Amino acid sequence: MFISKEMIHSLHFLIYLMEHKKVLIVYNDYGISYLFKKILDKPNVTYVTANSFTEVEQILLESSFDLIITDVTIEGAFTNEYLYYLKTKLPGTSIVILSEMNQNDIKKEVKSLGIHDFISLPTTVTDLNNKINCFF
Amino acid sequence: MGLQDLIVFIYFLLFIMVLLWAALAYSLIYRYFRTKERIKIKMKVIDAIALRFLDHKRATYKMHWLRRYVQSKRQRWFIAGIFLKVNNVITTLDDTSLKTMAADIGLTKVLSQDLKSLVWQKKAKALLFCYELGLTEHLKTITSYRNHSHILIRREAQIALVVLLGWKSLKLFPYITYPISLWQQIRIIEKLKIYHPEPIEKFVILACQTENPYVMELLVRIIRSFDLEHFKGYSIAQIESPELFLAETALETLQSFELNTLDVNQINLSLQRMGQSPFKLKVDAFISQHGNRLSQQL
Repeated sequence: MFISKEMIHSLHFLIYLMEHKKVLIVYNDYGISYLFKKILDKPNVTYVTANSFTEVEQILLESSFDLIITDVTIEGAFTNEYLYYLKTKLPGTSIVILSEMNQNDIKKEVKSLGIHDFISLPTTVTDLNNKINCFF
Repeated sequence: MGLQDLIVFIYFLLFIMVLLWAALAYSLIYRYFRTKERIKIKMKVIDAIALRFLDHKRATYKMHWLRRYVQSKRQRWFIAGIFLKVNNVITTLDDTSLKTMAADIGLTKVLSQDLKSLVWQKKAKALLFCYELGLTEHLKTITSYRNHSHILIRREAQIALVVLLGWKSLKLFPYITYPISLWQQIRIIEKLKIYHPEPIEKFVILACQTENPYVMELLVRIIRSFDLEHFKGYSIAQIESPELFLAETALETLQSFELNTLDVNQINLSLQRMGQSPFKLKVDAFISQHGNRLSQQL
């Protein structure tokens, strides 16, 4: 059976698409979201960063994601409103909360919204990588 | 006023308006370029920090440009701010730590000079940087600022002592003569809970020697927050204090402990010595409540 070069290329592209993951990092401070992007950098993962609710809305209109890493609070929305928006807009997408606000009340509130992964900050680079790599 | 004068006045007003518009335009343009420059610097610094975290041996050779920024008075605190923000989200081991990196690029040295500055803002910022990055080498200077006449300097120095020395810092508190606000007391207790959650009672005993009612109030709050039942007697003794805020805090603290007959008797004795006041009625109500509970238990 003859397999053309184009077919091999499209097959490779298909495999690439299947393996390739897209992650959205949301944090109020653009420097910190950029730092997470640099620390978590992997060859088959594309990271997109957003620093406000308006930006998140805009990005989610244009593309979908396999994982969302976000702070509890984000400029432009209330905590509950924002997390509820993420849960309803992307029902099948995993959401990981990365936050300095690690009081039990906030953790309970996040859990009640159906988000079970909460990473308290500050954390180590290794811990952060291990916890996020579980999703790939 | 003649027509000529009126025209001159209008020209004068126009001149002022043009000047104001020019200043406004300059400020907008300056801020636009400064923001743009700062975003660029911030990304570069974050790049360097990330490289340090991931491959610190390679990162140490590439920081000459960062040293130049640190030497510039305009950018120094901006760079320090980035370090503090990163420090709040990522903790590191010694080799790759931000503390070592700050020392490598000369930031620690420059900020240590600010610690002795005559300008209070610089001093307070340097204190903040010291405790956030855990720079214990400046403890002697920091200790001398715990009772500084400037409120912001002494506030930051007290927090720095609590963060760096933990419970041991409490033995320095009897030397504080200025008031400590409620907000500051909450900050101190929070820092103790985060950085040193295990209480060391011998330092609380040393701190109890204070005569400053605000430090006494802080101690009573610490006794309540860390559930230091051995110091229940100290709280009971404060009920008689002429400072109402201290007496009320002591009463609140006692409400969180189980009291025995001896404690109730001691409070009763204090109650007898008190003059007629709304606070006495509160203590009375508290005693009758506890007295009933004790008699039920017996």
